[in-house]
Order: sequence, then C-alpha cells, then structure tokens
Amino acid sequence: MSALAVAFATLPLSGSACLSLLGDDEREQCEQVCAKEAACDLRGEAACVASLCDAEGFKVVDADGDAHDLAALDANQCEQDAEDCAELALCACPDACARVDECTGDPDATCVNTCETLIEQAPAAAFQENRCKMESACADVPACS
Amino acid sequence: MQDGERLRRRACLLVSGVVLAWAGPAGAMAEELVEGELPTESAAPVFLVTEVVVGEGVAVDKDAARDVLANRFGRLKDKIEVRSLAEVKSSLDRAAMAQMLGSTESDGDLAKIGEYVAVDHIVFGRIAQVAGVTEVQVKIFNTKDGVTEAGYSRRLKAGAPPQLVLTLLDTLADNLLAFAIDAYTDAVPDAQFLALKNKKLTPRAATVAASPWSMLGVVGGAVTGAGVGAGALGGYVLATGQGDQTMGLVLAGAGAGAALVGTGLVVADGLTE
Repeated sequence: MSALAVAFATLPLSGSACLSLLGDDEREQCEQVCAKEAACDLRGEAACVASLCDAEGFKVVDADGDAHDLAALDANQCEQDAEDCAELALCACPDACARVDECTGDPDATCVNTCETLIEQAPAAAFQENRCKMESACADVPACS
Repeated sequence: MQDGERLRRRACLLVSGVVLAWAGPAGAMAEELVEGELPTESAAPVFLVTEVVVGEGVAVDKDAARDVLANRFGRLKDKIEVRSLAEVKSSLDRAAMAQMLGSTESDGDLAKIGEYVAVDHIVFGRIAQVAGVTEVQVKIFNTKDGVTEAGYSRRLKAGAPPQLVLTLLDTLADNLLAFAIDAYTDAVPDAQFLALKNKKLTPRAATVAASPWSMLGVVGGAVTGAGVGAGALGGYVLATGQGDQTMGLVLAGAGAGAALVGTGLVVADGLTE
C-alpha cells in the first residue's frame, strides 16, 4: 500500500492541477502575479491584468508568428516566490533579456547584470519596461521604452 | 601667436560660460568662467550625448536615435549631469559640430569637442547596415584622458522588424549607463529600491494544498458512486426476478468491485495528502 501511495504522490493529480487543465486556475494564477506587483507598487493591477492575462489565463502574443505564451515566463513563478519587493522587481530581467535576444537574434550575455543594475537605480520604471518587453510581440517591443 | 592663443582661450571660456549659464543651476559657476577661471572638478561627471550617425539604408530617424540615448542617460540625472547636443549647439557652430561628429570618430576631434563644451564624457553612436544585417554601436569617450573608455555593439538579424534598431540602441545605452554607474557613481541602489527590500511579501499562496480533495480522491469518489449505483441496479434485478438475471449478476458484481476500487482510491488519496 505504501508503494502505491508513493506512486500516486509523484503524479501531478491535485485538484488545482485538474482545474488548471480547464483554464480556471491559470487565470487565478495570472491575477495573483498582478496582485503582487500592485502590492509592491511596481505596476497597477489593472494595467498588469490587461497586459498579461486573458479570459482563460495568460495571454499568448505573436500568435501569427512564433507564439509567445506568457504562461511560460519564469518571471511569473519568480514573482510568486519572491520574499520581498526588491527581489520581485529583479525577477523581470531574465525574461526581458531573453525576449530582446529572441526578437533581435543577437544574444547579450551582459544583459541580466545590466538590467539588475538599472532596476536598482530606478525600480518602477525599469521593472515596467522589462515586463512590457517580455509581454509584447516583437514588433511592439520598441514601444516599451 | 600668443595673442591668438589668448583670444582662442577667451572665446572658449566665453562659450563654456554661455553653455553653463543655459544649464541654469550652474549660473554662478558660469559667471566665474567669464571672469577667466577654468572649471574645476564638479561632483557629478558631465556627459554630453551627441548625435547617432545613421548610415544609408537604415530605416531609423537619426533624431529619434539620438533621443533614445539622451532619454536613457536622462534617467540618471540624479547621479550624473547629462547634456544633449541640442543644448550646446545654440552656442557653437552647428555645421562644424555636425561635421566633426558625422565625419570622424578620431580621438583628437572628440577631445576638442569635450574641451569646447566643458564635459567629461561624450556619448555617441553609429548605426550601419551591411547585407541586410544592421549593426548598432555606442561608445563613451573620456575627454580628460583622450580615450574611448567603453564601447558596445549589437546586431539586428535580417528580416527582423526594423524598429527593433531602437530597442538595440536602448539596450546598448543601458550598457553604457551601467558602466557609468559603476565607474563614476557610488553605485548605491536608489532609496526607492532599498524601500522595496523592506516590503516583505507573503510566500506563494498554497493553492494546491487549499483544495481538500485531490484528483485521486475525486476519481475514487466517482468510481465508488458509479459502483454503488450499478450494484444497486444489479441487486434490484436479482431481487425482483425481472429482466436478465445474468445481467443483474454482472451489474451487481461489477458495481461491488467498482465501489471497492473507488473506496481504495479515496483511501490512497488520504494517505498521499
């Protein structure tokens, strides 16, 4: 019986996971990300939801080209796990850098360090700009500045 | 010759004075300059953001490109002093300045510009296109040491939206800014960032654990319910003697079995919580 219990325990069969397959829970997760950003005064909740979420959960941008699913952003999980708002602000860097690399086709190994330095100097503006980059279609990235 | 040199020096000081007077807060300092004293080391380093030279075939407006650099550096105005070329052009020969910036990047000419406008650093860039690939370069020239102290470049792949050149310029300007922060400021995080450190967040809400029923329990419950139903139907058929007795037996047996399996799943779910 214990072997059975262990086997079942390794399966991702929680009730929430089942619900997320139906799309309900993903929307809730998206709203939780926005709630944390708003709690830190880094981005307004309404602006965040409009940019990040759709009716079913997270948006997919660049649908006509290379689909960019915002549910796959590491920043979402990072922000949920952040213990303070400074840590949350820095979550935006890796995904924003990856998005610019993807759109321009030229990776920049120094981008994350540079991004973190600038967030330390002007957190809200730099955070919003980086979030915008990772949530935008490639053609719209320049409008984030 | 000496008189000529003296005249040049006076003219230069006058120009510097006009530029600094335009800058407003430095008005008092400008007054001193007109009286003939050279500028001393100011607390904040002075950066002059000049033109971005845009090559043929690049679908980017050079003024927009220059504004990107200027806006980026403007974000650090609390830590460094930033001037744009537009500010100093009013007091200098525009044509000569544009020619110097557009036609050469020689250290001698850049140092001369720095001397004319009394700045410590000159920020400039260049955008060129070769075989469909666009290359963007930015540099900081140190007018005191007469050297290019930082330079970065990136490329935009062929076929990418052309407006992404401005994004590349943004990221390169960020590289220069990070360099300037590390090299010319105390690099201490802004007070706003330090305040964010003190804002503690509740750890991730345990949404998964919040549900008392896991998927296993839900499935087990459904199987148990179906088993009880089928068993009851089979039992009814057997008890009343109506219909196919074999079918009733199968239903009763299968229902009892399903109820047992379902109950087992519910128990297993309880053990795995």
